Amino acid sequence: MSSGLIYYLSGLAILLGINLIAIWGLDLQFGLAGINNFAYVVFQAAGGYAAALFALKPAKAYGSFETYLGGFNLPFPLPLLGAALVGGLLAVPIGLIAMRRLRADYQAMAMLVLSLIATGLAQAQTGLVNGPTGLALIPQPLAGLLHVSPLGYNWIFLGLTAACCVIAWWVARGISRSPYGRLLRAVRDSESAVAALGRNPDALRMTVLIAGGALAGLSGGLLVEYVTAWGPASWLYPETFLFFTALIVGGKGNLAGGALGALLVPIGIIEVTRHLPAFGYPGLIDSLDWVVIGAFLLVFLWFRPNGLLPERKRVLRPGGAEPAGTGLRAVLAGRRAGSS
Amino acid sequence: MTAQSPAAAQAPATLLHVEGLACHFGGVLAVQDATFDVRRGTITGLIGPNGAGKSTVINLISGAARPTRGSVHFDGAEILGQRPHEVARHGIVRTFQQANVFGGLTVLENLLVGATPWRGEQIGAALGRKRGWSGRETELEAGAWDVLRRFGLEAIANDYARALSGGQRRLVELMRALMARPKLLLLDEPMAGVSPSLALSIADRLMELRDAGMTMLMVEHELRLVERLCDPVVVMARGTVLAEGSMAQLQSNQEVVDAYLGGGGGY
Repeated sequence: MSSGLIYYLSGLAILLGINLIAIWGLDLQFGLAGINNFAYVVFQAAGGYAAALFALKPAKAYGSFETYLGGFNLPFPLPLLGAALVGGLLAVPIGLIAMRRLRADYQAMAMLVLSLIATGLAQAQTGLVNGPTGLALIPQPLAGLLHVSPLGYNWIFLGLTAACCVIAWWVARGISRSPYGRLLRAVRDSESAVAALGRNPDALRMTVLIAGGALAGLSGGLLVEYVTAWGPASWLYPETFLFFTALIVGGKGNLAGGALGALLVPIGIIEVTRHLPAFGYPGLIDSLDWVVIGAFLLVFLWFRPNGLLPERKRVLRPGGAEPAGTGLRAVLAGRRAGSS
Repeated sequence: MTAQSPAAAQAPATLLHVEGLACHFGGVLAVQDATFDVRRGTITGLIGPNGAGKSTVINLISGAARPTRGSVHFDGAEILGQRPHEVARHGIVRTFQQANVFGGLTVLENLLVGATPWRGEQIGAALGRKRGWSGRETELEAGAWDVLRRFGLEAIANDYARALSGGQRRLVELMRALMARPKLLLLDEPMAGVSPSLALSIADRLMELRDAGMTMLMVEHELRLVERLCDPVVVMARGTVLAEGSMAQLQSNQEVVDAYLGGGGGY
């Protein structure tokens, strides 16, 4: 295997990990709690932007060829922690604007509108994020300390991404298996019944919006630190639907389903179409990405709305918990038992 | 859950006092000047023709609807205008006109959500060690199995609630409400859409709960069941309280007969 191919595959594995974190964050919000967060990419973008600002030196240090707020030159891992923090904190204003007093379908519309406003603002305000050009020269974690080849650094970054994936998995698994996760699934099914049983559905949704937002922010921070650039055009609202498609195809409410969706949709489809022989007018293949993703989404919504690995049933027996298994095992067990 | 404590025995007989309750939806007067009491240990019936305001009264007490004026005193506290989860925390649990179960949860999980709020349900506990909440969770599971056994429904414990019949959903809603150990249970047409045999079964359960000291306010159209279960009965018509008393007393009240029961008192 050539070193070029190894470099490419290691980069692909990093992108898979970054998408995995983002999709697990969305799974908490959408899969568990039923929040149609159509502004999800804004959380990821905000995390990416925060990581960039925390890692970059002040603009003057680069000859002021780009303009942005701050530039704090913080050492690793503070930019990533800041990214997660900003992603989580962003949930508070967005949640207050879009989730209070609105029904689920209107919440989705409000989220989408917020996403469009955020993009418009980022592109119009040149002093904020350097306008549509975005930010460049974002320092990579420990890049100044490690003197390794580009491939060697890829392996190091892959290790960092894997560590972040483990953290994201721990958060998502802890939530989904806990009584708190059960309440979120109850809110997804009936907000009024949850309230009638003494729980505040608004507060429950807000907490999970923060948790999912933090994971989105972390994934955005990792992405920006890997590609060393941040541009508003990379975080448009269709990216949100890419994550939704991955979750619906893989299976929402199931961590293994989210992982499968991350592999199939943002990595699988994009990479397969990237290697198609050129045909048609320039840009046709890029457009076909979205056609294929849209078709995937529709087919699954029609024929397999619970995805390839549906949410597993929590089977309990008198005297203690007895889970039916996870992921593929649960699907197979469900088929054998003929249950839903 | 059901045995009366000495403190409860010394408590005032009235658990819920509704005074001058009114609610307008735009120009529509849904409830006007409704006043009645619910005494401890009774099943108080709330009957009346369609549009009389019965369900709106339940919604006002439970916080699901906003009042125009009035007061609702529950166990010594004014609760009118509080949000549904705040009202529930006083010990008032309701069921809905359309059985409102968590379809994506199993029956047992529905019951576990019914338990009174506890620390293990907070996000901090979810991100901490399982040992921090598993003990209480096991206790709640045992309690839920106990309720299922009392209703003879262990067999459907691990079925998704969305897969149940309408009658079974009613029972799940009732069992879930009991998990909360309510001081007052608000029942909004608990027999609606239920087969006659299941309705009788539900009625038996409600009588057992009443005999054990639980207090209930029940909206119901099936008057034979109301006569069997409820004393007193509050009659509403056109948003206001028309009369209150036992079914025998109401059958001799000409105003009630004209407004709701119909000629001859045969229902």
